Amino acid sequence: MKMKIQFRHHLRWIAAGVVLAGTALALLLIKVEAPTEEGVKMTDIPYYQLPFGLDENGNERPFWPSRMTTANGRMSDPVRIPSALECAECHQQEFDEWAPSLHAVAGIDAIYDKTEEVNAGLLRHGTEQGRFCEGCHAPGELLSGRTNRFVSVAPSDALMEGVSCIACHTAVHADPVAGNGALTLAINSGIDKLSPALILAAPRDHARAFGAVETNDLIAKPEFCGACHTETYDRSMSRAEGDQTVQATFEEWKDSWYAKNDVTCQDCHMAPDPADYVMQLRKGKVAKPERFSHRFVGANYLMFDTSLGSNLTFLRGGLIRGLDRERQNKLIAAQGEATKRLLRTAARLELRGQSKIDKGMHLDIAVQNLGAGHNLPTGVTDQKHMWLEVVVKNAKGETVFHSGGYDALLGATDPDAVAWIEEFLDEDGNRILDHLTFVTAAVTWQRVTIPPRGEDVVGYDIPLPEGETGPFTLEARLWYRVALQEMVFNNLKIDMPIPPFELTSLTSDLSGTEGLVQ
Amino acid sequence: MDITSTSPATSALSCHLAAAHKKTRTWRSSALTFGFSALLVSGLYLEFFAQDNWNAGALVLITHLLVGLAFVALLLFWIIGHVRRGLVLSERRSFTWLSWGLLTKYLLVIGTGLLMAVPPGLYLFGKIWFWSFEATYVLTFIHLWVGIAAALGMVVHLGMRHWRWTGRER
Amino acid sequence: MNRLTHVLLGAAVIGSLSATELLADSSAEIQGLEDVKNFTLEHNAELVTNADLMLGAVRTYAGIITAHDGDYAAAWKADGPALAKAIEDIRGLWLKTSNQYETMEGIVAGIPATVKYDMILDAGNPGTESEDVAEYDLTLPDGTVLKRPGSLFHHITEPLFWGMDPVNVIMTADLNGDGNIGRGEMLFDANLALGAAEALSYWAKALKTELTEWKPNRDDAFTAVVTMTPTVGDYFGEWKESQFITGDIGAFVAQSRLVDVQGIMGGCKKMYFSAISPVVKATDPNLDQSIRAGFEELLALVKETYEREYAGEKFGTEEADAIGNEAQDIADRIVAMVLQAAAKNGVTLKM
Repeated sequence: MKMKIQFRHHLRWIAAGVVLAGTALALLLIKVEAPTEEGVKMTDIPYYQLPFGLDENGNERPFWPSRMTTANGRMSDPVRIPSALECAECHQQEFDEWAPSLHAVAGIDAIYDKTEEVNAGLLRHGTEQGRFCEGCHAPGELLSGRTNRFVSVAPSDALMEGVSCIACHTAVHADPVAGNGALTLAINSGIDKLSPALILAAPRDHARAFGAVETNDLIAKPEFCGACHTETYDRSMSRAEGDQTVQATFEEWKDSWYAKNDVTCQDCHMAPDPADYVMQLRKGKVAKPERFSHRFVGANYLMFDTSLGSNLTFLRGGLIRGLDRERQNKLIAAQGEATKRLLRTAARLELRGQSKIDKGMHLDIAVQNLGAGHNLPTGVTDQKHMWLEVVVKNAKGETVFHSGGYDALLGATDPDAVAWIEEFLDEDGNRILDHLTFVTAAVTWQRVTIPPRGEDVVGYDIPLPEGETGPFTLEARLWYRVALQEMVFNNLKIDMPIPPFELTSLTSDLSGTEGLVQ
Repeated sequence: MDITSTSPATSALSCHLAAAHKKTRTWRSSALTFGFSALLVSGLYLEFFAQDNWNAGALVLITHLLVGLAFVALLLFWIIGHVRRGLVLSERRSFTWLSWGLLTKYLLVIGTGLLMAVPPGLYLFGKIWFWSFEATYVLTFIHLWVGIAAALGMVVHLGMRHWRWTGRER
Repeated sequence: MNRLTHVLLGAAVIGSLSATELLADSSAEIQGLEDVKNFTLEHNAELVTNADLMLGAVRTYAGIITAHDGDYAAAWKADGPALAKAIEDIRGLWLKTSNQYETMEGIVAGIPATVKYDMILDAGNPGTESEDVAEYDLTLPDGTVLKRPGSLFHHITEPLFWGMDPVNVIMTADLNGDGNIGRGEMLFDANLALGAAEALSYWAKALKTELTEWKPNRDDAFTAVVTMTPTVGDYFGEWKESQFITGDIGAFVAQSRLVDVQGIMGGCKKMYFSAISPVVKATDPNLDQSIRAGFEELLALVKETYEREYAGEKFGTEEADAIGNEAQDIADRIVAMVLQAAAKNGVTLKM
């Protein structure tokens, strides 16, 4: 059978096209070298110090005492790490959500930055011990080798951005039980190599880099968050002799109703409206949010308090790059509102019991954690704490009992208040009020934080003056505060009272107290 | 020789009628075949191997885009005349339908290619817009697999007899 | 033959020129090292001056307390304004003295002969710690001896003068007279204050004696530049923060003055240009050029900002933020480059 004439003719051109393109590709591949192994060898970073020695297998551990590491074990090259501003070129909405968030200022906010500095100053190898903090607060700085006494790596925009795009979108492994930043980031090999125009032409390479299946799967899981929101002290970063758990947000969640119902960290903290979402959960409606926002709304109301004016800029460590003043104020204020609304969904107070006692009355007040998928409060609980204010008034409206008062001028709370707070102790057993983790030897609780959907019933024996008659009324308020005044004074060297936030309140008529003269 | 002609029985007539455009058409169709082959090879490289060496991949991508645009322009000029002439000369329904199928595949490959080229095109004019990841995956999937199908279809189209079998040719 | 003569002659000329250049570089380095020492001694002299002034202020404070037989309440009642003024002076002078030390800390901590002074003045732990203990005892005017009490700046005077350690707060006092007792408004232990201030003055002078004997070498010069240049970034950072913090939150953060920053930066530049540049230029002229450009750029930025501030210009939040970030960024880059150069030249940095 004869070959069709067109086929015969075009076969030549097909062959020519294939051969020419193949040859061109082959030449190109010979001529244009593939990138060598990405990242920087630790030995190429002059004066990089490893004061903590080798690990149990005899390997170097350049990022210890942080558990964060890179996928290929090399340091990252700051020049190659894309800044969030670059990402914002295409992902403006995500940038606008992230930019005012705490993640964006995690490495520069004054409370963190000054406290880390004070801690680092406590020891000769304090700067290197600061790797423990930087892993979660400024992973770019840590992984590029800039957390060192002598910083021989030049800075880049991306390194200033705290927990930025690449900190999550290159993650390939997380260990929420070990915590202390136990994340592996493919920050050297995972990032793409194309210019913005070419990324737009071939977005799948970009997706492979920042949206690799394993990364996308991982960052959707609570285990991912747990890697940083779990903190354990040992001799490497404190004076604790054995493992001393200080932050257990993941563990608190793991055994909760939320975990059993597949309600994750991301569901609440990345919901477009976290307060609405939590209220739905409180009503028993379990469903995933329609989208995940990058605002990461949490509990820190202080960092969004625009009434502080330029003092807020100081607290946040400066302005947000890439946004004009008006826009950032608007975004910060909006996030502040979302934070306050979320906080108001967390707790409830309930008068559980009232009875007469000798020369007074006894009240039982239940503090309920209704909305938080972790303990209330959680996180850095030697600073972030909650206390109960209880006021009993007589018929004339005069206060006959007051516990848990707050002095707004000094920023001081009643030292005898019922408080849910951790206490850091030094080796002599003295309490450390300013988060000096590097010299913390032990951690105890004043009152253990309240588990998800759990409650803590607080009993008050209220002495009443002789002849005092009712009817009495109870006013109770549950306050939350993000930091102790001593920490701000000692570390930030400013005298700014840290205002507390009222989580919930209760007013009750105590006329039902059996046996009490009303 | 007129390689755009159809059956041997009518090729003389076609030759006669199309004599004035013969050379041009030959050049265009040859260039299209050549271009498509090169695009297929570079496209397969981009899909399966570029991630190993994006230093080279970036150049391949730019070339693929430019050749692709040239291919589209040339095809649009050429295809209308080819269909008009070829349709008259196609004596087999199966050939006709397969050819329409091939044309559909080409249009899909070109369409998805152009849609994927919209974001970089807009970027060059200072506007940032891009498809959702889901849309990107669909477009890429169609572009790749229909492109491969089109390549096979083209081979069939070129090799398949389009004239009715009369026995004279045997 | 003629040709050979020309070649040899040419080689001789080039050789002698190179030798001259090398000699010039070498003498520049020697001069540069002398500059490093002079710079350090200048700051040490400032440290001594400020420590003495602070001692004077503490003596005034302690004198008032002693005049009331150690009755702080009576002293406050009778001489409240004088005590408040003395405390204000003490705090201001403490910041100046501490800043002076911070400027030269890198050098002091880097020289084996002076490292113990760094421990005593600034970085040492109390004897209760297992490492980096400040090896000295503090004798107070009343005869009490505090064994290994920790560094004078950070373990004793700073918490004492600002009331951070309740143990040494004798009583609260409305120092600013606003009718409220704010944090840090208190009278502190005069006995401890006087003993510590005297010790600061003593050890600052002892450090001067030690530094006078010091013969800096190339490693010292590199150490000096890479430890002092970042302080410029830090001080600029503090300046930036001081633009944000409003008076109503009562900041007692060190208010960096740009004139001080300019002085330190000028010193760093001088040390680099004279002592280090010849070394770096010989191995990597481009790197040397980049470092020099960095110094010029940073100094120009400091100078311009200072001149604007001196002329009474107020910086907006955005501008202060941008300037502060830029200065810190340039300082960081300079240090990174100098460290790269140090590594290339086999320099051992002192810790």
